[in-house]
Amino acid sequence: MANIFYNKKMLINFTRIIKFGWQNFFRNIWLSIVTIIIIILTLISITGLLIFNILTDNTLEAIKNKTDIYIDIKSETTTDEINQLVNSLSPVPHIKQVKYVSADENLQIFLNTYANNSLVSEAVKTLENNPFKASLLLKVDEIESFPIILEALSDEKYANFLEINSDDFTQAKNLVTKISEYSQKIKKAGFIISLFFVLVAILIVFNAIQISIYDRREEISIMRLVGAANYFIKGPFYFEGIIYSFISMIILLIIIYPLILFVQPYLNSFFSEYSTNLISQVNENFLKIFGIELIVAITINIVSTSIAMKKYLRI
Amino acid sequence: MIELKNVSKFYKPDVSALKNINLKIEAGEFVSMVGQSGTGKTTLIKLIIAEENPTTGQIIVGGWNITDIKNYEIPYFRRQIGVVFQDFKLLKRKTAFENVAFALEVCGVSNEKIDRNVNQVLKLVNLEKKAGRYPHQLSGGEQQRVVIARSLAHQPKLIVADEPTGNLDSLNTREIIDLLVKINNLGTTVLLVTHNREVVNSLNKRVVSIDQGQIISDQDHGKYIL
Repeated sequence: MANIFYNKKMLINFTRIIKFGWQNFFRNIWLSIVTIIIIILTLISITGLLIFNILTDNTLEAIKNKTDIYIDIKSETTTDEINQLVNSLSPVPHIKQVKYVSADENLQIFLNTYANNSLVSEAVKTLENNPFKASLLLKVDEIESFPIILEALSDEKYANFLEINSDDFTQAKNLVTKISEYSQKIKKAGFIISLFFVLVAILIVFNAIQISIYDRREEISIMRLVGAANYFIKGPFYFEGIIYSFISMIILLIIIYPLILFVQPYLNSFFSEYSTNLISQVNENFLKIFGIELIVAITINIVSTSIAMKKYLRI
Repeated sequence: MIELKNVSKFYKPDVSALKNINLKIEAGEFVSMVGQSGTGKTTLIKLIIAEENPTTGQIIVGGWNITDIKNYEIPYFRRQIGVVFQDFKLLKRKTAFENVAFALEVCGVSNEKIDRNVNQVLKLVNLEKKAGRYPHQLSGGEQQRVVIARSLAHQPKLIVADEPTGNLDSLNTREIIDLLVKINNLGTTVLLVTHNREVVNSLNKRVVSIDQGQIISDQDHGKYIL
């Protein structure tokens, strides 16, 4: 019986804390709106950082998986020698597949690649001979194996038939290193920007709660006088912070998808073949991205509300 | 109801507000505490309602030893006492009914019980017909009666009134004092802090006089002697 009474009382208190929290929110509606805008900006910068993480990880993964390498065959090499070469290269560690590509096929691949560029295709057509040589297409298990394969190919039995250009091997690896370096720098800058927004949001929420406390100072002093429990006095301010978090999250969810659709064409032109569909990436990582956002939003509010109450509530 | 044993209160660095106070007030008593401004009356009230802790000594109110009361216990202790101040402390945006209800609302009392209790106490202070009025629509005396109604909402065993007539004219003062006497007659202990000579002399009840932080007289049917 006492338990039922206690639960009923807790329920009554809980609903009243929510009611008072909403009153706080609406009492300074413009301040609440500004607070929410700042939290949304913070969340957008964090979302940008998270999406950028996913994007660079995907791009790096795509480049690392793109481990096809073409090695030209010296023109005097015979068909028998080529077949022998293909057979002897296949068992080399880290090489998954070896394929012979004729000079004509190479020309066709080139023309297909530049199908939209009439200048290039016209230039090739003016040449009397096929400028391309036959080559071997090596499919390698991972980009990290390139130096090992390069060393293996420098063996005399292969080197005599192949025109090995070590740049072919280092270019891809350099690209990965470059992208990693740039992405690290951008991530660092993104992190600093996000941190800046988090700090600004903490200050803004702190200010909003401080004004709420000031606005309710008479009610608070009466509450203390008549014996309102401390959690009941603090509760509405925490709830006010939670309202900020949830409204910011909802608005973020509404605006983030159109924002991604807006950004997508720019990403496509920047990342070209390595570009990825952001919407599907965000959908796949929905819980991760918005879970982190929600935790950040609630943490910002709880931290600043606690500081403001400790400073101004004195209970 | 109230017991203070060797209570002293010092403020830093070396300001002494109360010195070695020994006071016992029984349940159902009506006690006037008198003294000039700055003699320690308000400090004593703050100690009795657990707004501050004594530097030394022991304080027991309504069976609670509040000498070292924990922060989380204070709200539950406060529900046992009603406090009335000189400044009315009414919420301007709430009606008389809502102001009284607020005291119960913030303590988790159900709506039905709030309705019942608030109507009851408003009737006791003769304001049942003005329950829907806002503070600015009430006279000073009526506003103070709302405050008294609010302090009674929890049906406390003790009412502490600190200069409740300080801002009122003599007619309203009489009304408030009569109301406090009526509440006392219903069994509630009343501790009235005042420096209104006429009020104290007309009551003909126990008077405790304080001067420079010390009790200088305690008479069962006393007069204002300062």
